[in-house]
Amino acid sequence: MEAETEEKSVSILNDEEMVTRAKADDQKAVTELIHRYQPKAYAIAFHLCSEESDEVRDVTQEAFLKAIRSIKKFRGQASFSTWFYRIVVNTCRDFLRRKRKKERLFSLWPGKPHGNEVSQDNSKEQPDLKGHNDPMAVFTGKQLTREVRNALRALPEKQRVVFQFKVLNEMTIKEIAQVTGSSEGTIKSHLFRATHSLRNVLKDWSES
Amino acid sequence: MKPCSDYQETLLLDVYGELNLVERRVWENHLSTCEHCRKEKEQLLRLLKTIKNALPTPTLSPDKIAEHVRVIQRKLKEEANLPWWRKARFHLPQRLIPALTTACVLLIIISWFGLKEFKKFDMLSTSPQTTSEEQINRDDLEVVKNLEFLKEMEDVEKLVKHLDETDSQSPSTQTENNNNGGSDDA
Ligand SMILES: [Zn+2]
Repeated sequence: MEAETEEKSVSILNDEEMVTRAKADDQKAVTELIHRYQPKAYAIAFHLCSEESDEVRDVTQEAFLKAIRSIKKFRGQASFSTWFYRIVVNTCRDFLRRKRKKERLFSLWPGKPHGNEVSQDNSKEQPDLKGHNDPMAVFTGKQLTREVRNALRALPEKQRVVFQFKVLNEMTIKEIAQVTGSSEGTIKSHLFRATHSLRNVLKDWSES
Repeated sequence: MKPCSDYQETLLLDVYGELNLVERRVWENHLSTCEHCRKEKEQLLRLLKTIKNALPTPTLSPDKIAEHVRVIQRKLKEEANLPWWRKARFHLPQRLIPALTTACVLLIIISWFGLKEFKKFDMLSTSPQTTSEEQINRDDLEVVKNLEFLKEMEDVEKLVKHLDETDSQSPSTQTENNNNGGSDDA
């Protein structure tokens, strides 16, 4: 009963208080932080570095391990969320670097398929399409997903990342600026350029 | 009244939900009188909705989240029980680990060979010399040794020649030699 009350009390703490407790090796606070940030970390890793659920899980776990190992170094200059999202983004970058290296190695191997090609078309995994019974709707949905994905891939990397953070991860411009270490003006500029390009490419889908 | 082109940034900030109260009031005033901007806003909102629907963000079930949390906690516990020198690697940037390992291996190799050479050098001479000089000296020594060997070979050849000459003077010995050669061939 007492433990239950304490667990409840931990979950109503704000991030700052929770971080203070986690720094003092309070395992309940650590657990609550992981619970609180798991969905967001997963979503960032999903859009930023992979759509393979195993890979997203590994990247997310690695990011949490890094954050908790170094939580004593967190000085609270930025909010915990900003600090943590930055760790997630860096973990994604490291993951992509390792993955590209591996793919380059395999591309030198005769007869092996290029790793990236395998993971590129994940339209079959789109959860929003599973409920459709209308084959035409499924086809249209898949085609749309493919076109949107290609349009995003065609953007310069910075524009794409900023756009994904804003639209798919629902972060604010201020948050994106803090996570990426850029000014808000730069983030706005990337976001607006990305919007302009996507609007041109996806005209047929969004104008009706 | 400002022209629509002046509201481009405001329009984008509006669809991204980033307008402050003052900006919003001015913008809404404009919107109420400008059909063009209203249409632009609608179209942009539709574009963002289309993109969001095409690439939905996965939501994890509570079970899945609990499972992830358990795995992370288990790994943290395992790490806590490791000795300090194995824990240290978690605090080094991952990218530096291969480079640091290579540097350590090189350092070990260099110091090992360096020590061996140093010992050799100590035994050979007491005067300071560089490794390349030492190498040249060793090569010279080899040449001198070879020359001595060649000289010895010359002496042997001379001896054989002399013996041959003596043999040709006594035919009985030559026949014996020929027979020996024959039996070797067979
Ligand atoms: Zn207007």
